[in-house]
Amino acid sequence: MVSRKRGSQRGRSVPEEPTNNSPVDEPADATPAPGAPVEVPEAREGGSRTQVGETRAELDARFERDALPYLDQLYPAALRMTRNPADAEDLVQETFVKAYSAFHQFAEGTNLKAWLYRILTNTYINSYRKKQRQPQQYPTDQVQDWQLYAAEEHSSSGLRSAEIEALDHLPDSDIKEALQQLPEDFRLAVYLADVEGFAYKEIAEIMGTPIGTVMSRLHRGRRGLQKLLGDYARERGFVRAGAGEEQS
Amino acid sequence: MTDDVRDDSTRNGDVQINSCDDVLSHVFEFLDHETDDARRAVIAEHLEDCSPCLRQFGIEQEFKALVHRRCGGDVPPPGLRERIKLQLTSVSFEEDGTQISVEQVSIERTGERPTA
Repeated sequence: MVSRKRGSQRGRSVPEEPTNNSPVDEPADATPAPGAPVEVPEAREGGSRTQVGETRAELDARFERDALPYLDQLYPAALRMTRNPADAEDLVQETFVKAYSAFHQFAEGTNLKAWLYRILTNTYINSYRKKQRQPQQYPTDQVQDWQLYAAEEHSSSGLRSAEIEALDHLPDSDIKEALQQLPEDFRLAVYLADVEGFAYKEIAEIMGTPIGTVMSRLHRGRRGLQKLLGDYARERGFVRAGAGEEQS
Repeated sequence: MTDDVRDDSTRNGDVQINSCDDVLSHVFEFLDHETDDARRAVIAEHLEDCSPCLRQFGIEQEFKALVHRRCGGDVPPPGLRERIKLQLTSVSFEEDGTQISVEQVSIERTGERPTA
């Protein structure tokens, strides 16, 4: 059912949609202020610096206990960003080195998961995106803006029942590939919202954009993904011609 | 009753919801639990009486669930966690604990050496 009541909490992940086996209980929603991307955001806001005098061994133990378990979530995110395993591995390593380097400033009460994602995103943007901008990567398949606009124009009401059922038959590889064809900003917004269950406010902080931009990227990203997956399902014969009530 | 005026103009309480189009235009915010309580109640009330809108909301919710189930979960390569831990040992801190430097370590991806 969709008619759930929402509690009064704000800025939290959707409670009914658990994230990928979140290994650590998340603290409340105190996250760094949004703004221009910085390499490693301040981690002290919303908490006091309680780790003064911590030994290296204590820091290591705390990092291994609290931060490293997020590897299982950061790796797939990095893979969606970089689109290949070798770069994803490098990106995750670099992210953890940066996080570790700033971790002595990290205070209880700060949203560790969002903080790690922000470092991941900034590291990707600053180090990896440029070198990945090879135009031959998806010469013909890359979704262009005009295609997304077209998708919005023609199916502003989204998928139809026959289509959503068909999508479930698509292999994971198709679904991941379709996501990876979305322009990066849309792809990341959809990933953070739907796979990770971040709230708009958290996504805004991670991506360094206003909430309105997050909403627009999510809207266009989801519609674009639906369009692509609908096409895949038709190509594979999972949707009968005409079942979508409109012909291409 | 909440008189919830948000600083974000796209989500303030001014927008009237009168038609199916209005309701459908808020489907993502609703499913993402990003609507304020007042608007949520208006939309929920509409859905109780409008099966076409309810069906569309159901489809969008299924789509969200599909992306959630199928787009993540890639297992990190074996040994990556250990390689990261090894690399962290190369991070060195200055006396004041604020500055750091990181040795340039090149870890061969092929040669896995589980170092404690």
